[in-house]
Amino acid sequence: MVIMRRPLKSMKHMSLRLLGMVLVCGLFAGAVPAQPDQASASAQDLYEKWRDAIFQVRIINTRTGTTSALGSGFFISRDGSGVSNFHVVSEVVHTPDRYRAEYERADGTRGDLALVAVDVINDLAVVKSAEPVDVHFSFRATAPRTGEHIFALGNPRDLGATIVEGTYSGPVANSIYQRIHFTGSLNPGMSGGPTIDSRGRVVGVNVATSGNQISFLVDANHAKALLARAPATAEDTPLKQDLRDQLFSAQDNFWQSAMSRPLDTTSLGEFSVPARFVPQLSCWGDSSEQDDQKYKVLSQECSLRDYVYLSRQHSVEAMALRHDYYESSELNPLAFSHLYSDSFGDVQAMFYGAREDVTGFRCRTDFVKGDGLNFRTAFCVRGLREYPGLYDALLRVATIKPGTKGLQSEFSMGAVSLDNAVAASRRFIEAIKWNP
Amino acid sequence: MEPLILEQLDRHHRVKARVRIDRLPFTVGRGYDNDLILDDEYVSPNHIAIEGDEEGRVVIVDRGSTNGLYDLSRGKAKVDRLVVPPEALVRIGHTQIRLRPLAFEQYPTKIDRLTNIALNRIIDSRATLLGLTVLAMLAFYLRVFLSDYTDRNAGKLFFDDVLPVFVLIVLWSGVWAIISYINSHRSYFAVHVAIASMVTVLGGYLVLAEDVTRFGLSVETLALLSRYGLIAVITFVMLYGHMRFCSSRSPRTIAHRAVAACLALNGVYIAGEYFSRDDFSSFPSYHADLYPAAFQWREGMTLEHWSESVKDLAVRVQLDLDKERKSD
Repeated sequence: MVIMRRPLKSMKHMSLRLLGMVLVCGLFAGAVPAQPDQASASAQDLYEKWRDAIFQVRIINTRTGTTSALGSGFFISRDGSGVSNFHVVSEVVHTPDRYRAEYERADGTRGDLALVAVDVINDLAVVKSAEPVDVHFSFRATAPRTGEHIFALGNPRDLGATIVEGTYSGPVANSIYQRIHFTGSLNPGMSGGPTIDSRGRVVGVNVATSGNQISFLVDANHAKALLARAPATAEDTPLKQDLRDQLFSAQDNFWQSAMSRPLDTTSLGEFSVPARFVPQLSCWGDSSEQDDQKYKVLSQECSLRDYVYLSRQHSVEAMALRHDYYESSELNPLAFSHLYSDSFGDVQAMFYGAREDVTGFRCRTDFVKGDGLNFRTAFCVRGLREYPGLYDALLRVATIKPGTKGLQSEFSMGAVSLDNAVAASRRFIEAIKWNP
Repeated sequence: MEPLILEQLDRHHRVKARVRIDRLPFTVGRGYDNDLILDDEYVSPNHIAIEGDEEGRVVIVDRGSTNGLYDLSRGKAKVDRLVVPPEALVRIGHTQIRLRPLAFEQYPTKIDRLTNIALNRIIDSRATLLGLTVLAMLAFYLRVFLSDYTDRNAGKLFFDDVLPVFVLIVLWSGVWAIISYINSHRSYFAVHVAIASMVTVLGGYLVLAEDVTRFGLSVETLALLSRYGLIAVITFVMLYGHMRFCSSRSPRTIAHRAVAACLALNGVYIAGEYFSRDDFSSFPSYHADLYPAAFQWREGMTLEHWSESVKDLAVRVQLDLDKERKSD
């Protein structure tokens, strides 16, 4: 029998994590107030010139004939090749028998879109219309300078094509999957649309927003690379296998580089603990030690800013970790043991994914000998159904020093191979030291 | 002569009247000149007589009735005369008559049974029951108090964590008291309160002991078995106790039935656990109890060993997938 204890009401764990970004794929959910953007004369000209090279992507449920998702895209070559976001067309990749993609241009012309290639890590997709096109974009060869005016095109919330002006703010700091910070406001439905410079050359692909003129673009170079390796036609493209390989090699690269650098540690209470496993982790700390509380908890939590979109219910965060240090001079051992037990069952990590995306969790608990410390560990994994060999994993560790001082840590890994998960967990445990 | 008891039964063997016979002869019939007058139109005015024969035995004699005398203890045969001792069951008309000696021992009934058990002294003493309940409550409070890590004071702790439990016990006992009253005309309310309190407290301590053992000795299977065992023992004691009170069968029969019922209950419980073992859990769940004291007893495995062992989880995930694929 597995017992899952929930925390008592007095056991307050604050979530220290900042809000991540929101994808701007139009699912008719989550209202973000549209910013009344003052379009410059140049924006008007650009819009006039390029509005026929962008299109709205409609994902149609083939059984009901209704639209299930909306996004944007743009043509990049005369033969009808276009670019959009993976998260816009993901349903067509996962269940091609149930969904198909269509485009509709500002002038009302519409047609079918075939899926040619996807890049799940950079959230890109190459689509192709059956008809050749007259107007299409081209990529800008050099990166813009920070502060340069750039313009995002797309179809927000199915309101018709629009142009949004903002500035290029360079690559987003501390992100593992390279994104560009754009100071215009992207809104749901604009995902997959192009962001162009004042001469109409594509510098990025709209992908996500954090609200209030903080928006994110995918570097145009990734789109260029994907186009270059995309096959000429949609036929016989093993997209799912391709997705799996991309995820597998991305996690391999990520964990190889994470494991090869010296581990950053920090002290928490009387322990030394692993902190920024990779430099992109952002860490926050807090403590709860009110006067009337019989114990104190010092917490540290580190998480990544970005995640990989896999399907509508399933996004994956590559890594997150957390430490809680418990100390009490007032509690008797039995009471401390209850406090300690109650919080060990309490998992802070977020695991997304519906039943069709993932298997159930399988866990085991052990005692593990570390460096002068005895650990109680719980290790849980679940499989990603569409991506054999990849797992979501959770390591929970507790250790205690005689008396009433203890450390509990949590280390979660998303879409990772079991070998990498175990090696990283081992490194994580090894880095926990008693350091009075 | 030894006095006799005559029981007049209806067709369903329910006793309608009892008469004590101190002297013979004793006559039965529809006529007003009988010792027992029957209101049964199938009985003759002078139907039978109960009298002593030459050898001094008590006999029933047909007095020339229309419908005759039937000996029900010997295959419903129509007789003119039959010997009573040790007892007799006859039918005349639509009436059954049973004769028994005064010394006949009545079967114990639900109510009678209680007087034969030594436990009754405890059950009948309100003071003892109240004492046990209070003791249980104190023991429960002690555990709650010692294991509390919040900033609640002793009074709040009592009202938050202890009193609700005992209010529940009182309500629960109330329900059983009503059932018990319907069944045996006694409520046994205080007994239920006392026993439920003690079981609750004892169970709490046993679970604590089980967790410490499980954590300290890491004997998951043994702890699981002992948990099932404990549940089985508690069910058995409860069933046996109640059946002894309520049934007039022999203790051996009751024990057999209690064992059977308790095996069946545990079987259902274990089967339920067995069938839900593969339920999809979208959240990682594991045995989270940690007993810092027990922590010190354990020597953990090495990290190398651990790294190898946890890889088995991939196999378990794969098994889940295979099973799903098979059932699709």
